[in-house]
Amino acid sequence: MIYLQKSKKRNRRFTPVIIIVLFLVVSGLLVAFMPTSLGGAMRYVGLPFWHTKNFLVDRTSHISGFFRTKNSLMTENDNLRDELGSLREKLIAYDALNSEHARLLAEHGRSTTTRRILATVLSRPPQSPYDVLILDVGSRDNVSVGDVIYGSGGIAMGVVSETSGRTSKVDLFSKTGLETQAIIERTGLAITLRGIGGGSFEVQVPQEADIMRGDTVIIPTLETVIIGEVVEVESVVTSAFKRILIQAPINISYIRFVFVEPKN
Amino acid sequence: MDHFLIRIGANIVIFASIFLFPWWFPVALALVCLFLFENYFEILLVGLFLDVLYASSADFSLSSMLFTFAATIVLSISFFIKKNVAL
Repeated sequence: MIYLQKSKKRNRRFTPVIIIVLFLVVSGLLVAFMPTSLGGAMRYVGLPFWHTKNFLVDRTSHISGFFRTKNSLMTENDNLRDELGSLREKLIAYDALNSEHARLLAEHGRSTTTRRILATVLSRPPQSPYDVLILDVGSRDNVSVGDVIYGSGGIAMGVVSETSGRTSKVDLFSKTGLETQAIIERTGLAITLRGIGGGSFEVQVPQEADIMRGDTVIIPTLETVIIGEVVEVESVVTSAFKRILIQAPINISYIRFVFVEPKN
Repeated sequence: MDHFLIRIGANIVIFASIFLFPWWFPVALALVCLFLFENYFEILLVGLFLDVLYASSADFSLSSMLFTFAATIVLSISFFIKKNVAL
């Protein structure tokens, strides 16, 4: 008896579709139900890569200096010296105000002394697409979800969103769509910052709101913690609102170290 | 056999570049491999790894799997193109 063979061609047509659907279902379930474990495992695998990269970048960062002319280096040196002088003056005033602030708080029974953990940034934008930092400290170092991250100048940058043993993931305040409560320091106006990525924020306020270019934006805490500076005020006469663009004072693409302030 | 080894080598490079280079670099490499190799399902893993590594896990939403979905769409399009266009 002769039987007709089933067409293998037709089955083969559906194989990729089945693989893709299966993959989507499985990965969707994994990401939905065990995101922390998956992320932790990936960061654990990535640790040696990031450490090697940081080591190589540290050792080779001065190479570009060989290709620069003497004149350009001297000009840059002069500019930096001027900038350093003006910053030093500001720093003296800042230190005086800071100690006065701490003394006033202490007189009223409040203290701003907190323990902060130094962390190396393993991955930062533009390497990470979602305005996320990956740090080399984790739950072993007493870092937990919700801890606030500060830059070296005490600038608030983001919050820890995920931790594993030796690493943690930080959502920057400027992450697209992330909303953060803040205050315009000069006027005390409360605003809600909306992250638009790349260390930038936007906020819609009524036309009559008193916000100017250069205003400092702080987060509502006991200490004066800066989160950004107003860089643009976009106002259209026909609109009831104006759009304020705010930029973090740190370039997030170049940060190497940050401080984690544990909640406990 | 050589083709198979090249494919494995390319996958290792792409996997390492997820950790070492900006996100668009492994994405670009994966897109090149998609048209070099037949049935390049590995692109789905590249998308998933990028999402797992960098997307926020605090609130699971479709945006948490942006790269995975993008990889799925691109892979499907490549099947369609390879089937219907003589390259």
